[in-house]
Amino acid sequence: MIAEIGHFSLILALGVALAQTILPIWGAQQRDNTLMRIGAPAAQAQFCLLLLAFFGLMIAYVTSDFSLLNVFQNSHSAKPLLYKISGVWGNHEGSMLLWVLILALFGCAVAMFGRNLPPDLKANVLGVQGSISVAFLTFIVTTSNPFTRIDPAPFEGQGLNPILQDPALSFHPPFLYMGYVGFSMAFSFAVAALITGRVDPAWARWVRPWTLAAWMCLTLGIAMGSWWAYYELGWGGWWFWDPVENASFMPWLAGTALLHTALVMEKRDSLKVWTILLAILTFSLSLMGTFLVRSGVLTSVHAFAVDPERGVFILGIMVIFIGGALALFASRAQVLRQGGIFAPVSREGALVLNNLLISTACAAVFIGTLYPMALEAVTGAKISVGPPFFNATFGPLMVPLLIAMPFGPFLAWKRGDILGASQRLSVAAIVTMLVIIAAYAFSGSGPWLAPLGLGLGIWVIAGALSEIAFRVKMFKAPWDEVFRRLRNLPRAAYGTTTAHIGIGVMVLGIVATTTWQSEKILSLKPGQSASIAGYELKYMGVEPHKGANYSEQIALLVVSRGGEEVTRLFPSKRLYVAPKTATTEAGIHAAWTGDLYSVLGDELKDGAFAFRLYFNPLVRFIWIGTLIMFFGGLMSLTDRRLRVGAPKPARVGVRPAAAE
Amino acid sequence: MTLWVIFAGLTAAAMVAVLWPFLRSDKQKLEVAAYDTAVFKDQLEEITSEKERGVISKTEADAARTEVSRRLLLAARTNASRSGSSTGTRGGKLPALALVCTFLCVPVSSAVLYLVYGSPSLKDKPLAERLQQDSSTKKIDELMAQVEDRLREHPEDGRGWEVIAPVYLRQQRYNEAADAFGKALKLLGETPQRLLDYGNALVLSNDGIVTEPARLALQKSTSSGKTFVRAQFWLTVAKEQDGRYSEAAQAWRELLKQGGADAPWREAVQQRLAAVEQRAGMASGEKPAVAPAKIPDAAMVKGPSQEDVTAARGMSSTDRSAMIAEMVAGLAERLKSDGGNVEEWKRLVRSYTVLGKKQEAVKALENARGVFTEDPQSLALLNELAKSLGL
Repeated sequence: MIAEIGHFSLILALGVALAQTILPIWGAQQRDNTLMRIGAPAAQAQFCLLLLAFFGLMIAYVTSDFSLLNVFQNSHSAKPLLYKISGVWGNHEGSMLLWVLILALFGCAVAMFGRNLPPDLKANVLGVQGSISVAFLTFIVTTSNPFTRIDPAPFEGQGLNPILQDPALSFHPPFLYMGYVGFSMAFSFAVAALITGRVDPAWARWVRPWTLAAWMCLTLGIAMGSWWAYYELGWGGWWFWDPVENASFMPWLAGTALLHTALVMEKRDSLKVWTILLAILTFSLSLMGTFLVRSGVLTSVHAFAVDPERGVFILGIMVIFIGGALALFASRAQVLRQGGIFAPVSREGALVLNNLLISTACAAVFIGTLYPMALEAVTGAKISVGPPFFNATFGPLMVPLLIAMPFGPFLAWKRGDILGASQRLSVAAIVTMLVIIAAYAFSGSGPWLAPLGLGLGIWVIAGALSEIAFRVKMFKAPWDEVFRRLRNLPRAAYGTTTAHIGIGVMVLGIVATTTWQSEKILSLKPGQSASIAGYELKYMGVEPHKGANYSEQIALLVVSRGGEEVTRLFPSKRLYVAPKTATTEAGIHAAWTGDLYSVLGDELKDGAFAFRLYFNPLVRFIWIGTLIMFFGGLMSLTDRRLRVGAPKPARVGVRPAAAE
Repeated sequence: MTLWVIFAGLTAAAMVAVLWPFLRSDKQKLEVAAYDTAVFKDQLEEITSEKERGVISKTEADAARTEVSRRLLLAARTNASRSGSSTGTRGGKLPALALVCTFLCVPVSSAVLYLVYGSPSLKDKPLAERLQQDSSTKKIDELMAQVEDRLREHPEDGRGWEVIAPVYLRQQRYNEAADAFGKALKLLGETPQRLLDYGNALVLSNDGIVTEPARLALQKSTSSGKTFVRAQFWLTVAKEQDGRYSEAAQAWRELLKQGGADAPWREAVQQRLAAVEQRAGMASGEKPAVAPAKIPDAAMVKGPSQEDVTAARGMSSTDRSAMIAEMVAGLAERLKSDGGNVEEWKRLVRSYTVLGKKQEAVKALENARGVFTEDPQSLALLNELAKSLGL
């Protein structure tokens, strides 16, 4: 009965979403207040219904109700509870349900917190949001229904792919979707602005924090995915430029750009049209990511062509929403009133540069991801665009971005002073130089670009810190004044600095681990030792062990450094019961200088086992960096104050430092 | 019935929520521009507070205030020119029409969609509840779930494996069956019957190919003096597959002699004998394609669909060989273009062996090894296969 209630709620939610789409937009056209006000309760009702449906499915998973086809195909009674729950979104149907649930959650948020939005804007936003719901709910009900039943019910499920049975991956999709779908908010606001023909000041005030929230979730989601790939796939890599990864990375890049322009728009009332276009593009990339991952087009273009029902449906949704929004943009953009003007060298100008570089980088990833697919579809030839392409295109675009990054916050709004900014960054530049020289001195042989890369990371961190130092007059004013200023600085300013430091830390990790990684593949008999990066690893033997739904072979490696035992590593190989699959669990020792990473390979002759050993210097900085970025976003998000960008007055500010 | 009452309740609640604005009319007139001015006023306040906290200087604050005030004025002016466009509640036909439409369309369309996709008559079937039901009503798979559960806990329970293995076999889950028979054999000790069952399951799990471990088990089962027709059958098939056609023909003839005229396998053996004799006749010349002809347990071919198999059964032996050769060629083509997984490669190698194309089998094996150079696990599987096929 629970399953059927869930199913009915899902269908009823579709009906409600339909009402939410038609009535408020119609009301806004007719300027009818009652009709416009329907949007808010409809969005709330839709969310409640979808929540009910989602819980219905979750209960079926937790109680192993194999009379649901979806549960039968993706669950198993012997699975631990956590993975029964995460199994709900570990498959196509369930993850689409999560997708619309989050979409409805955001719609519900507009309904509940959007009291200060003009009623016609709110009605249009909710209508657009509702229309996305209608499209995806129709898709779910007709082609990917998680509530399809089978009778008689089988007695055991087919199990969740063991490689997905992992804590990090359990929470990866919800965060990823919060990010993907969160951008729908910016999209709905952009389309609503195009419909009403004006960009209200309340627009940016609303879009900025919600885009930020979506961006934070996406950042965390991508980081979790990468962290999982690092320790689960057993190759010691953290990013593979895989199309699935790129599918989430493109919206992140566009979202990062959007975040910065939304800020300009809120603070300075300019870059309006560009922000709207970017909002449309960001959500379009989210839709494309969903299409790539969910249509099966990635596994093989041919497989997609053989069973195209789902893929074509999502493709249709994509074409309608992206095409419709862009057409609307083309026909209505000139109606929008352009905002304030600014000089090329100014904070706004710096953010435009940021946008240009990020968008170009995003385009590079886009081409690298889609070109092979297009080629395969047209000619049938299979090519793979691997890391070399991305390293050659994406990398060089990031260098100027990172170099320019510290300058941005130092430039005043409207008209900036590049010379003054450079002077204020001199300390950061000196620190960077020292680090580069030190890195050359200590690294000895090795890639000559690596120390420069490290310098780039340090430059970003030092630049971000310099900004705070400058704003609180560190070393220039008496200490009590500095403290007073530190206290009074808005949290948003700390948020910016923190997020930028996060980027720097991540760059350090990326550079160090890609250039100085060491790797060894060898076979060891019990009692034999191997050494890597100064560590001595002694292989003691292998022991069998049984888990809840798998059996495994665990190897013991005693790690010592300079004769002293540091730790013990337990790399293992698991064999899962249902479905019968083997996975590897890496044994990892984390230290400040880097990770010692060991993988147990196959059994060889006379009791020896193959081992893969890696040393990944500073690899943890990559995820620590993303966490810092996340917290930077959180700091900014908790700052509920309005953002106003004070421009530099045209004539007064000849001597900027003295003027303050 | 309860279900429909709940559905009705859900629908009613959703309708009330959606149509709430109709029930509680809002007479106040809303000026869109008022929202703009509200934002600008907030911004002005923010500037004042930032200046007070010393975050921005007085000159900056003044400049910002000038800008925001300018926007505020502009908004007020637009407001005046747009005054006619304020929103309001019209008591007219429009909302009433929408009300009626929504009230009709949403419940009706939901009910129709649900009747199409839903299964209102099916109850929930949580596993725990089902396992507690009276054992007399339990069906085979329920019992199996219990036995499987127990075997996961106690893999050392040989009896359990012995009980479940024939069930797997009947369900055509040959891999599991072979695995279970093997475990029973190891745990409970060798008897002719167990060796026979194990060997039989192994052959079936290998798509009808008698691999070396299977042959050894079958051989052992007959060595105790007991004669099993099934063991003899597979051992003879093994001879066929090794290309020892005259020996195979001899063995088939002996088998026919043993069995009475009404033995159920008589016809199958006679057919095989005919095929083998034909091949033995031209043995010295070029070997024709040898299909893993009809074996009693049908379903020996995993790759093709059930229809293909049925069709193959009705064909003449040449047609059948042609069809199988075609399928193998298709598989080879596909693996060449998209790599495939190790199971598919194994199937290809095996198929070539069965067809008597040893050279191609060796070549396919080499290709497979090339594909999986970086995957020691798959390589091991391939080596195992090569060993069992004697390549």
